[in-house]
Amino acid sequence: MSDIHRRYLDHVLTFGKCIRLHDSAAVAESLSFLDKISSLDSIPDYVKSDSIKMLPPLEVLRNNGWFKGVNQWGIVIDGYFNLLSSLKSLNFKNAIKYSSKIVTEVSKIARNEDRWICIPLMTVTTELRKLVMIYIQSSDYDEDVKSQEKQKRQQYGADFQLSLDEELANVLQRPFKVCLSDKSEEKKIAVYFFANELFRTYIKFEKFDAAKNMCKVLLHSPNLPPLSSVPKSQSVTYKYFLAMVECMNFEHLENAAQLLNNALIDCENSPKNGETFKNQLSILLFLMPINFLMYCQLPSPTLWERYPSLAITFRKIFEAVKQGNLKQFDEEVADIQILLLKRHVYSFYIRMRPFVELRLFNKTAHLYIGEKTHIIPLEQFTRAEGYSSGRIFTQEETESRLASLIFSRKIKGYISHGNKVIVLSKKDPFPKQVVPIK
Amino acid sequence: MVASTEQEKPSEVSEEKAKVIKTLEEDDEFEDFPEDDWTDDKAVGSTQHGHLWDDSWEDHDDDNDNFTQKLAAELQRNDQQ
Repeated sequence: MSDIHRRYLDHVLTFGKCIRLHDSAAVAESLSFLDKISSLDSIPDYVKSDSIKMLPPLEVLRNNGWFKGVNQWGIVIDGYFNLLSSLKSLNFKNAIKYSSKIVTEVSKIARNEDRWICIPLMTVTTELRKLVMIYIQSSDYDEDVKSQEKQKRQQYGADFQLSLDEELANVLQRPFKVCLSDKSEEKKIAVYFFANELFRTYIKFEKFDAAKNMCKVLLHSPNLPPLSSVPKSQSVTYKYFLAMVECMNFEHLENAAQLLNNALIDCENSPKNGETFKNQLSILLFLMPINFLMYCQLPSPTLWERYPSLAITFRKIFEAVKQGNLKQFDEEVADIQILLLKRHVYSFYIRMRPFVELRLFNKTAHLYIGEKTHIIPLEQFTRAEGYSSGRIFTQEETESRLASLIFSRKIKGYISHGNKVIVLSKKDPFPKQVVPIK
Repeated sequence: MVASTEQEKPSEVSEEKAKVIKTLEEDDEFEDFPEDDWTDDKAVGSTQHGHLWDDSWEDHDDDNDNFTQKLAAELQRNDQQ
């Protein structure tokens, strides 16, 4: 027997021993490939050497005694060596195919195993998702998509779309479902981990309806462990994605605010670089407009100091909200419109604009020094609107804006069109919008 | 008189701001945390979180910015007309 075959045999036997012992960490380590990418050259290619053909993993495992799931483990080990071989030859598409096969088979194995299988299942799932993301960012992906789309369009017509995202989502659903439907409830502890993997995939590929449906499934699932019982990396990520989905329905915005505030509170307090800090920025990109819309809270000087990139981009917007400065608000929002759209927060800034006007009208009333301070000429508000927005306003436009704010109970009073005045309530004409965080 | 003449003319997006905007646009992934878990004392926590927010949006106490002063002058000018 050649040296390479001997090394292969040792490898498979060690693998089998770890599985028999239910050594979670060792099996996960044996199935991991991303941490081996930098040293692939030093790993033998058991596919090219024909080792797996001559000594199929299943036969090697069986010859050393039967154990539960041995057939599937044989397929997993075979897939793993093929995966490494594909990576060595930089064939991402094949690597993804074998990685998907491994996730599918380990999911099947997991149905009949207890909690020990969770870590290996998490490892193969997260590495598949990361491999797909690496592939998508590579130039190979663009070329492959173009040539395959062309081929498939010729075959199936113009409606065909390549659906790597759907294939990935289908595979990632398997471990999620195994844990969610676990009758022994031992594996339910891993539900949030797999939900996060699916959330990342759905959001990345903008499958928002699928993300919404998953939230419904989770909400109606009995006996899920409390979020406080899982590691914070999982609970913070889960709250962030759940909040993103809640943001799609304005009526659920308060729930989103609570999830995001809790996610930030639980987030690791990191130095100003790295992944953790980036995650804090992602949470705050949502939280800044949402905390304003829900609680009329503005980012404080401490926030701007701690997050300089947010200060550079957003400080002037919130300064305009505080001042009632319509022109500055509109210009600053227009400057970063693409960013706001890409980060899915544009609609919040549209909803914030009436508050800028409210602030302006509140100031106008506060600055009015007439005889009866609750009866104010509409001309004052028209002037204020004109000054703040940088364009001429008609009285009708001002009346319409005031009427809208009166209707939404942000101003208490009525407009006397004939007398060209607004009569404000003597008591609390601008009811407090600030509400404490629950 | 309107803000276009009274307020400062908006500058074009500075190079630094354009760079930051681009980074925020591109870094849109929620990353895998480097650590799996951490204790409460290593987290941002409620106290630090509380310092990040300002509840004074509706107050008039600090209405001494340039915009408000010019708005007041504009409204007063209107009163006198």
